[in-house]
Amino acid sequence: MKSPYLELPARNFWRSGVSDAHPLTVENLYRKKFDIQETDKIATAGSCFAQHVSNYLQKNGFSVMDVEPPPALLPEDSARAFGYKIYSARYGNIYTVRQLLQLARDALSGEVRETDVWEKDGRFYDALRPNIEEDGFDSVEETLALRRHHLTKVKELFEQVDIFIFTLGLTEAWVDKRNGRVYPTAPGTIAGDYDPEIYEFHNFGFQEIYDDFVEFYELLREQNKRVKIILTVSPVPLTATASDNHVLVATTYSKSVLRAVAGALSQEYRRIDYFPSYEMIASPWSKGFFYDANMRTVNAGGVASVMRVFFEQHSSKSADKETREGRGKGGRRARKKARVEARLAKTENRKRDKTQSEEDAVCEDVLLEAFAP
Amino acid sequence: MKSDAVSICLLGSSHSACMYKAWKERTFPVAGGVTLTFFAGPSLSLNQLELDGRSLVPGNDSLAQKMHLTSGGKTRIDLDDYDAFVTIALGFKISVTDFMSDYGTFDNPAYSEAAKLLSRKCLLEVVKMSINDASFLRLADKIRSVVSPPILNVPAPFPCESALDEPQFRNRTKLRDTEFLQRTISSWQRVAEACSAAHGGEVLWPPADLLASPSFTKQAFAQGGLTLKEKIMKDPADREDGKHMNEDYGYHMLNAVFSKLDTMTGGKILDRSRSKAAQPAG
Repeated sequence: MKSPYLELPARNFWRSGVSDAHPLTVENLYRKKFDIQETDKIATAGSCFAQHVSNYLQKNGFSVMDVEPPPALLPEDSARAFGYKIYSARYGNIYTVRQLLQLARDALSGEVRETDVWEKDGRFYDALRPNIEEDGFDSVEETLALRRHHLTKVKELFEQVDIFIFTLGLTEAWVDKRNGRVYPTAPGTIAGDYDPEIYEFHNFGFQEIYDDFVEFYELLREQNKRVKIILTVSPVPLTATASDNHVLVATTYSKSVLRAVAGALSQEYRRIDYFPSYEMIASPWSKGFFYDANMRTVNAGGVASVMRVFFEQHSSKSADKETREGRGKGGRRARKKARVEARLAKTENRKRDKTQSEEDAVCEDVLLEAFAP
Repeated sequence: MKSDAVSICLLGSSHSACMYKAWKERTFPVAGGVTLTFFAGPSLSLNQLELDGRSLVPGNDSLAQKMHLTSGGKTRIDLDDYDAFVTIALGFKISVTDFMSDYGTFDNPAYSEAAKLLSRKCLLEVVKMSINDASFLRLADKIRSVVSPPILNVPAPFPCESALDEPQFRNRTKLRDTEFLQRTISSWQRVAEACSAAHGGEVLWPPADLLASPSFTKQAFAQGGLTLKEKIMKDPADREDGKHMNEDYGYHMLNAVFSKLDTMTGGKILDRSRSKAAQPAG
């Protein structure tokens, strides 16, 4: 009797692919859809998990774009505090696809709006990237001038990028009812005031997110026919939910919808790939091993393991060397070493206090914890 | 501080040459017992000064040689011997052409078309970071860890106004906008003063009569600009690099130094019997 499963490789079966494999050493978890050339210009964006991807790509010799580099005299720490060197442009975290679409529309039109400027204690914040200037801007005019400048740079990025890596983060967002604008943080978190007459909560569904991404993709392709996209889903759970659900239920909804959208897009578009970082970190397979003690932020070992799988398929010259070491004669030894290092990293991560681990990536939603009872 | 013998230690980069020359060649309205000892070398080389008990000593032979040459034979700075310290342009530079050549801010749209636009807050952070990393603050820390007399920090001169004729600045109208320059430089100066104060020092800015505008020095003071090389070789060159100033500039700055130190020391520096400051020679 013949079975369609008979000829399938080991990776297709739970026992050989998961039960008998280890997250630190798993092979063939991901198969790339297209190559990344060393000369390809890569841009990263998305929720805060994408920052880790960006850092690793740079360290491994990929050509990661930075269309808004910091002033040369600004040290690394200060530069990051001003929103530089976090992503390929100074857009901060882009948690929802609607936010990404909105950015693309703004970049192409060059339009800026006073309603996107929020005030706090006499300082002014770009509500669409409220974390880029910790203490805000001097005036509404300065905020808008900097935003206008940012949009010209984002347009340049869209015109030049070869590989756009986007991490889908959240389905929940706050919307300005007057004009439909969505924001990465709730008004009143970093700046602004929550006025229910103006702002409302919205939890995006599959179709909305799917349609938004398709529209974004079409806008991007109008600017740049070469572009290819790699999607990931952030494994970082919600800090807080504004829905009626328990935060765990809300997280499952959010991540499930995003994962489904990413899957649908990668199935339907040959230039859109999906990279399964979410599965590696968040599935029961890893037993929470890759999370910090708060079971939310991803530890260094988790990021390293995810990127090992990524570089197994997309390797620059420098990453090639590491990958070969993991596969060849000394493969077993190297994998054992990786396991030990990850264990050490986990111990180390537990030692670090919660604040420190969250500083590794810049995440506005962590601020919501301040509102917890 | 002794009223009859006041020792001032000046630690400076090549920009101290003009003051050294002025001190040697001209008269100043200072009390009879005021003495100056110069220790000069390239700005970064003075980072090699190390604390040895209550003295600063050169960390290498090259610096020892420069100290010996410029101080008239000393190769160590015994901190207890001095009643005041003056640092001159030890990595301390406030320059609109440096800080804003690549960057613009919202209130200088002339730059923003071509430049990277920064928030004013970010530009101030750039200024702060560049000052915080400067030699004069490290040196002030070393001095302060042993003794507590006044420390006066003098920045490098503003570039000569002729810089405005250079191709990269020729079309930058904001560099000729006095009101804009004043506002910009003032905000940077406040940052520098705060950095300096945090390390136990005060700042002395160039007096207004040396300036063509709030961030450029009058061309007359750049003609025959002096550097350490010329001082050491006793061969002042009649040249102009737009950065180093001449003896006249040194004279005015040194007068300003004495005046400021007089305030900081409760009147121990200036000669009260003289009715007015000496005029520049020649």
